[in-house]
Amino acid sequence: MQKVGIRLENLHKHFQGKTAVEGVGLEVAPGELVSLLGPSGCGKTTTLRMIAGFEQPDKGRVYFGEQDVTALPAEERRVGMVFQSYALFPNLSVAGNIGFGLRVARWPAERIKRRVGEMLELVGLLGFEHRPVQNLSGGQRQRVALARALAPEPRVLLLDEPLSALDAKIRAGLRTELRRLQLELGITTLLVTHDQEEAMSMSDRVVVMNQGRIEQVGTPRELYTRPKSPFVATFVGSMNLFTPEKTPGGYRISGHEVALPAAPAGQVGVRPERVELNPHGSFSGTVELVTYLGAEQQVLVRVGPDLWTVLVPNQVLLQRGDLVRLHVPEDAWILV
Amino acid sequence: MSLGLRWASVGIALLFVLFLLLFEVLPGLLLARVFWSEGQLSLASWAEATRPLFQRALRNSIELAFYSALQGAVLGTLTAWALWSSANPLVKRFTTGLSAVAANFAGPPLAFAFIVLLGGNGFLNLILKGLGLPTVDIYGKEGLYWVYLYFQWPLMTVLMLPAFGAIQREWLEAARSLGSNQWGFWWRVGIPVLLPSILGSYILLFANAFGAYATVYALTQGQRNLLPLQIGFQVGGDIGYNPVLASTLALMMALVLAVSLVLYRLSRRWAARMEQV
Amino acid sequence: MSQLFRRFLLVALGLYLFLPILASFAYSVATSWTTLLPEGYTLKHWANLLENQRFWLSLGRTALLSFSVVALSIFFLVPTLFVVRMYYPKVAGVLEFLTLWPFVFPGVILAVGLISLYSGPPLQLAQTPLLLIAAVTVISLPYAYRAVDNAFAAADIKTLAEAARSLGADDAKTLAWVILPTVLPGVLSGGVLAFSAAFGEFALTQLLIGTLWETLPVYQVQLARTDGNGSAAITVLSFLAAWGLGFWALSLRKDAKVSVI
Repeated sequence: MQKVGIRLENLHKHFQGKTAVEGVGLEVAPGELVSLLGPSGCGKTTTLRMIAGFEQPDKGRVYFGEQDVTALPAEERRVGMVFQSYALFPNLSVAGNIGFGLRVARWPAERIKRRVGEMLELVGLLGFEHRPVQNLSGGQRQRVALARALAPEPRVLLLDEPLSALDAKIRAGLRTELRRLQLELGITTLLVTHDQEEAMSMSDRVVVMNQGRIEQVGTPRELYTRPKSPFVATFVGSMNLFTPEKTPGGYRISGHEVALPAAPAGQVGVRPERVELNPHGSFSGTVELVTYLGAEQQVLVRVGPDLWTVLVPNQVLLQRGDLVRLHVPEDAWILV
Repeated sequence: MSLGLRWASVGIALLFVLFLLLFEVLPGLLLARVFWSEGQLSLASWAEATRPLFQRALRNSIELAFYSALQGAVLGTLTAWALWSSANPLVKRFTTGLSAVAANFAGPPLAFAFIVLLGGNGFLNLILKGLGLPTVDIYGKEGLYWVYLYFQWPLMTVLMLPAFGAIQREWLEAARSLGSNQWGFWWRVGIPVLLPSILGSYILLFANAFGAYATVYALTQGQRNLLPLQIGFQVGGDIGYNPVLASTLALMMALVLAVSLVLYRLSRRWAARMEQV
Repeated sequence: MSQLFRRFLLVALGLYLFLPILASFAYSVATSWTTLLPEGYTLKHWANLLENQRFWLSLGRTALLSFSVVALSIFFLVPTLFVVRMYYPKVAGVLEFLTLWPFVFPGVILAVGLISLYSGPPLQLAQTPLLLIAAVTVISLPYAYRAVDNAFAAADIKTLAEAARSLGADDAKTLAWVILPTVLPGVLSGGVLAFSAAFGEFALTQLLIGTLWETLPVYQVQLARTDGNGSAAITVLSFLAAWGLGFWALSLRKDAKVSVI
């Protein structure tokens, strides 16, 4: 399998006067798995469809390696595509689906059979070749769809919300399996998802999109610890966000004086798990709601005018109305 | 539900069943009496009903239904495809409604409308004559095909729309990303998926034309050797009243339709399996 | 290329469906029509038709037949489908089977059966309008049945009734305020379809009763022998009735789905 990267240059796409994608540029290294993450309507799927060749960009170019594929029709791009709805062909068996691209490419029957066998083994469905696809579970269907996309040795793999239609349990299992396969094959992969957990757990890098534009590109750790905008800060993980007031001696948040590591340009945030319950903490508040999550509990604390979300170990017994003091270490503040 | 309401409804339902028995089921089942003569099984009426004249009527009716359904099926499937791929929802809704209404329009008004259009001095025939092209003989063999197409074409369109609706656009995209062009997709996936629906709808069109009486009667005043017309003659014609022969011919016709119905139900089951994904 | 072909198909279908009516209309107002366009226009044929008592009588019989069929269909179908859906869902298959019956026994065959069954005692109904009404009801049943049954299925009356009762409505109120209003559009649509089918019915009428009780289509066949222009006027009226009723029935349904069998 030849490894190629993907390069997007300044992609624009409008639908009936509405902007879907505006100035998207991105470079994906060969063998890398990059997620496009964002809420619905943010342009992530349109971007993927332009890479696949199902939509023609109004402006901008798409490169696979050094080849400009912008004008190339979808059927000549050699991409593997996996859809949320599986999109398996109902008139063909499992083997028929997996071998589809090979028959289109006129491989000899013997090679098709061997390749289909390899693919079935790869996705753990040996023995299923003659099943009609209607008899498969959702997870099995998506494995077949993946095998079908990989069989003709595509240059890049495009996954459009591949796990969204599946149950939570199966989704988690398939997530790790997909990533393991991708690393094993070393295939350049773009994953579109609205699920931040999925994006964070599977990707080398994540592209956060909003309203047709890229908000931030980075490794999952970078996005979590150094979000560049309030949108990224709240979309990736949860975050207590405040607009600090300037005071003569420093800054004031939720009615309390705080020391910040640097002068904030806009908002200031802190992750719920970085807020500590501490009798000497500088913020005093009242517990409004305790939600038991198993390993820990999520507590909503009213501090002055603001409602803070705090993660607390489950041994601490708290109830509504308790007075608590909160402490935020100076390095836990995130300036966005 | 109070007992009163419930039992009143049950009472009406039972009345309904009685009504159906009297005016739907029994008249159909009792046709078989023709095989029963003076207390024993007799095939005499069957022998008469298979005389060359009626054999020809059966063959003509089957031929008419076969080709008329074929024309409607080809044009209707293509039209349903055109509607499926049309981006304009208004065109879609209007054409669907129009087809649904036209599919049920038949009988004397339709026959006479086509006579105005394609009769001896029909408007279209005048145009054809003016252009030096051969004219259409509406009373001849091909004339009936033109008239029947009026309801067969929209009927097939309406029947095929749900089948096209089951074709997901992602299938086409999946096929393209696997290197297949549009034609390849229709050849390998689209047509195989549609096939059961096409066959089932074709059978409906066949039965529709096979049992049609009103349109052809009005068009030719009954001057065609077709099975429904022959049956009509035996009960209400000027030639004579022969209920036994009429019943036997009717049974012959019902047999063909019963086979069609079974085939139709089988194709529906096949289609449902294909379309459930 | 394929875009052009699609347009061509739709335009061709539209022409095919409209041209016969337009031609009939032109013929009904033409003085004489032997060249490409009518020589002159007149309302004479329409006036003749509207002054003709036979026309009005046949139209009246057709209306009577159609209304009776609708009344009978609704009277039978609504209570029956109500109890079947509510209490005896297992019987639904039998009912569906009975509505398939006219597929195998269309008008011509049914007429033969009815004549041989009701020509003598105990029920001598042959050649009476009553038998015709019963027969046309049977033939148009699939149309009405589909529409009413879809309405009941979509309403999920069992859950509706349970919800109404949990809110304290008694049975009569549940029926009057919840169930009937929900299924009403479907019932109406079924009634309109049955009306339309009965309005155009010809085979049964001609074979069961013929000119003894002339309906509009039977009269048209008679009239066409002597007065082609007048017959064209009836064609136009029949088209308008069928199309008006058809679009009305469609507009009563939320889905544009059309089922035939």
